[in-house]
Amino acid sequence: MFQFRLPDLGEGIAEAEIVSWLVEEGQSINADQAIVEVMTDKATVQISSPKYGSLVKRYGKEGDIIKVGSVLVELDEHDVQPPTPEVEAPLVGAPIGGIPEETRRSASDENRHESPHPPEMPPRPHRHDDSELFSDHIEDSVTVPAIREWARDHHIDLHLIKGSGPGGRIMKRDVESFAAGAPLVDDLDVRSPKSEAEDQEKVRVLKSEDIERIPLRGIRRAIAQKMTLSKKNIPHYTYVEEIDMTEIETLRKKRESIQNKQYSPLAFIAYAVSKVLPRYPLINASLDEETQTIHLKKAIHLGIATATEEGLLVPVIRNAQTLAFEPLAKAITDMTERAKAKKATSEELNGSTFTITSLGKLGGLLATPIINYPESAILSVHTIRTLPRYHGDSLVPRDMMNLSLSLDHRLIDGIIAAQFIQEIKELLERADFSELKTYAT
Amino acid sequence: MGNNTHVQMNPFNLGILNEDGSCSKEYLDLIPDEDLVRILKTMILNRVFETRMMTLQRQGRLGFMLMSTGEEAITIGSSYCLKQDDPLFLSYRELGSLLWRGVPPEDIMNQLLGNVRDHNKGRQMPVHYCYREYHIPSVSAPVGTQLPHACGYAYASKYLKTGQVSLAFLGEGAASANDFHSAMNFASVFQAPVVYVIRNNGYAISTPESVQTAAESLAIRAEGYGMPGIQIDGTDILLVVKTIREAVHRAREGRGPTLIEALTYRIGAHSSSDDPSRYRPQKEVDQWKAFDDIERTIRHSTWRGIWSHSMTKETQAKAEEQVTRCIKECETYPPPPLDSLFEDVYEKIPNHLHEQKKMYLDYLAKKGEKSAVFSSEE
Amino acid sequence: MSELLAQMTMVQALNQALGLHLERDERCLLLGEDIGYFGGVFRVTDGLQKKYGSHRVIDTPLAECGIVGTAIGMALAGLRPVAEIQFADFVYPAIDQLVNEASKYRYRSGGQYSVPFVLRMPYGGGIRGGHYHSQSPEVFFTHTPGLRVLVPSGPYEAKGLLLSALNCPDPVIFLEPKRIYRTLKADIPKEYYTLPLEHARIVREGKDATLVAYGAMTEIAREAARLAEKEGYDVEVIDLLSLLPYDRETILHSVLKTKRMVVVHEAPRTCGFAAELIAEIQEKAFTKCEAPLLRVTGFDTPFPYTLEDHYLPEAGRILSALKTVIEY
Repeated sequence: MFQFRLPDLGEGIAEAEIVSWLVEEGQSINADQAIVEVMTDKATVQISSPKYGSLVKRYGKEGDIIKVGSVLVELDEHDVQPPTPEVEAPLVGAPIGGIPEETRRSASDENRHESPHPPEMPPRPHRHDDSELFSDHIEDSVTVPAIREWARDHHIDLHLIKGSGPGGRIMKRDVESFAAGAPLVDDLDVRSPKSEAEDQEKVRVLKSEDIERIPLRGIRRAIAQKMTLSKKNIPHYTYVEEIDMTEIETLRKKRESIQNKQYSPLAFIAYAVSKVLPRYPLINASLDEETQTIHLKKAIHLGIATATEEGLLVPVIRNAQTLAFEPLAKAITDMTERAKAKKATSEELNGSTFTITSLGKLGGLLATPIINYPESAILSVHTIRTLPRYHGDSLVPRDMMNLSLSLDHRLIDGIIAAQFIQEIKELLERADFSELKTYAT
Repeated sequence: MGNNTHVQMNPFNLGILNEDGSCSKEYLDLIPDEDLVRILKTMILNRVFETRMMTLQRQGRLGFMLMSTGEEAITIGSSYCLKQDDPLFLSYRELGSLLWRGVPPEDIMNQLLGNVRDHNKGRQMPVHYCYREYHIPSVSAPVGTQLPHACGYAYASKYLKTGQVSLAFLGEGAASANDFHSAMNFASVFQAPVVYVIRNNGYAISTPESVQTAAESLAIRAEGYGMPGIQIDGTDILLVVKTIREAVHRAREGRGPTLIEALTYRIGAHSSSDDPSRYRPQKEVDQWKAFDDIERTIRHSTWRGIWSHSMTKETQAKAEEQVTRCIKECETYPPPPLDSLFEDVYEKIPNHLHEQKKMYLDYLAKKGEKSAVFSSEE
Repeated sequence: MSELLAQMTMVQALNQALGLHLERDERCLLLGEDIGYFGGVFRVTDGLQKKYGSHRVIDTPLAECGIVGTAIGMALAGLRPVAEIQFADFVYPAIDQLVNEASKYRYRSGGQYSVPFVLRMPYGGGIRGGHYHSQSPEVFFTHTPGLRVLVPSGPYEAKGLLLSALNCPDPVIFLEPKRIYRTLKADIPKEYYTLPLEHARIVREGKDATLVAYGAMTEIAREAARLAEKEGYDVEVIDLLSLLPYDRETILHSVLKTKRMVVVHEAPRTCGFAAELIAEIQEKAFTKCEAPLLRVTGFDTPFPYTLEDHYLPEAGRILSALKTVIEY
């Protein structure tokens, strides 16, 4: 029995996380066949079997962290490698991407309809500096050294003070009146001895119970950190409104039958958002706490929160405001599928400026969603239910759906939020998309 | 920082190979048919060898490995233009040059394994080659240090009238390093017979070209040092050969050094320790697949009527077989003997090192470690 | 003067050595800043370009890493280059080429290549040179296996050691104590002669303590021994001459005899060469020593300008250390 151990992958790597098994127990494995994908601090790599044989046992399951040198698989070795099948694939490692046979011309082929030319090279690798640190002109608080020292001694952050002096300079009177206001010391980090003792007591009690302990790892850990940060920094409030989606549902079903494919209500809501949001820049913004500056984002990069096996991922549709309905609907479908299939790149999973989250039929009545930090708002879409509503004097069945919008109250006052939702409501209830109208009738 | 403009190809260096693999008749003589076949076979062996070695690394059978995918035309094309005794100063991503020179794959693999047959006596990490017999001085890790060496060697060739031309490879990252600037300056001032070839593959580990320089090209630096500089499409084997051949000729005629910037793209990772998905989008990589230099050379050779799809398959299969035999042989060799740890620091082993060796052997003997092979006599 | 001997300063001795070797070895050439046309800022290469040509005595652009890197390339091709760094204080841009390339080339190539070349540089204080014309960087090199480090202490040693270095198959760092370039004169043979490498010289025999020094400090050590003699102490003075590898045998032999040792150098105290000597000797002669092994060195400060005379070890300070160990 051959035991294949996790090899030393180099440069001080001591352990790796199993990402996915590529073979099954009982399967016949060729030498150099990829058997497992593992993730280290540096890279995600495929490990291949050094020997030919049948896989008797796999050690470890996906998500497990295994040490270098510990057994990965057991192989029942076979002596002679069977002849490898004729290699049809292009040169191993050669990223040829399939130049079709037909385009390979022989010297005798004279049928060139245009004069051949050397190909044009793609642009050279470059990196955009996305950070706004250099593009925004950020001014430090203007004040004299004596005031700075005074503020330092009194633990006052000058960025929080508005200067009344010439050119916005912070004067002594400004700091004094500020200091007379609310206390500023953040006592969240102060732990009294009593609370520590209480913690220890809790730990002792918990230990004696029957508990399954799962280490917080990978995406789960990342989500936990992000959510905590969002709630800690952003004062959330949520605005809820009900939307009559009857017209949209009619439009949607009509379109489905004409186009012969599926559409989700989410596509229409996203489309409405992309049309209205440009008029509400604060809802597509973020607050840079360190520099105390509001960043209004010009483009709308729509994040679509997607439940995947690994956890919550937010694939991003860039420049949604430029997209017509079809491309937007398609992009939503594609992106969410890619995220679920673990094919989305980190570039595609980052950079949203506004997020929509929808659980479809599981959407429930309403929610208080947590903003995807550092954005300034998040829109939650709930189930569509057929409910009785008054139309004029009569009670009729209508398709009703709630929208919950959580916002950053540092940036957005209630009235702005209300206006935003009301515009979206109007747009959706009338189903008044001129672009789509041609298909509606 | 860095600029956001795209690098323009120098207009006087339009490619020779067309998109469909054809070329104007006047360029057909650049590489005679049988040479082109040999070049293509070497390229395929290059790629097969590296791919298999990378697999070995992932199985823990090699400590480290890197590939030169997309750069075979530059390395093999350049070596093709040199005489056997023109010294080649490598960085580490030029396996093609070694293969063209005739360094046996077994010798290469022994270096990668650092076993008793390694010409370097197992002293260096994989890919840090040295084959004096083939006029290939030693490779080291500090970036760019080989560049002034090439200048000095070239000066010596001129001084001793040996007629040799030195050729040094470097990545575009090395063109930022101190030694590059000293080397270029000295080479030009001394009019040394040396050719510097930048393999600009777009990335120095995760650092893209735009961060490496704010200038419109690297070739443009040559003018600042008083030597000609040329930027070319490094995936076009005919253009590579034409350009390098002219530069080598210049040097051999005593007309001084040249800087050549050969553009290509590093399709693979920097090395076995790197994961490029962490710093560049797949879309960018996909754009470059049409510029695979082997694929372009195959297309051209097929157009010429000297190559076919079945020849590709056959060559590839032969290469796989050759590498399999090579692995089988080389993995049987043991590590170098313990003696060798203390040798070659100086020409003769000095007393203090003798003493240290003795102390260590005594310690091992006390431990009862008979398994360590002490000397090559055993 | 006799036909065989001539009185020379160290500069003249070095100049003569270079000339003799250039004459004898076609493959030898010199390179450095201002060494050709100008003859070097200390005149060590004076007249050589005129005689041997600008292709053999080469003025280089101002780049230490270029100088050393180019010299390495020349050595790989079979030449014998002698490069000059104008002041040891300026060697640092070349440290990569020295430590990562020259010193390791033979080892890393499994013996296929070697880099036989000599890197000369004026070092040390005493000329009112301040931070950047007075440094003693020897330990950066002695800590690098694969290099040899030589430090002459006078004209006779300078010529002999340089000629040995020029015939040595390993890379040699040749540190010339600039303070005594011209202040010491000696009668030395006009002919081509070499001195054994790795050989320390007993300058003065004694039995009460061993005093080890090198470079300009050798003369100062001799002075201290003279002062000690007046107080009735008989001090043995050893001139190291080679720092890497150094002559353990001679020093050990001496300390086993005297049971006491003091080491002197200009370079800063912490991790200076004295630390190495003392560690090695105490390991070999621990039970025989009758006093702690001491060192007299420059302070752990950058090399001062105005207060230079306080910084540099002088005979009085050395004498004090000698008395401490002798009277322990």
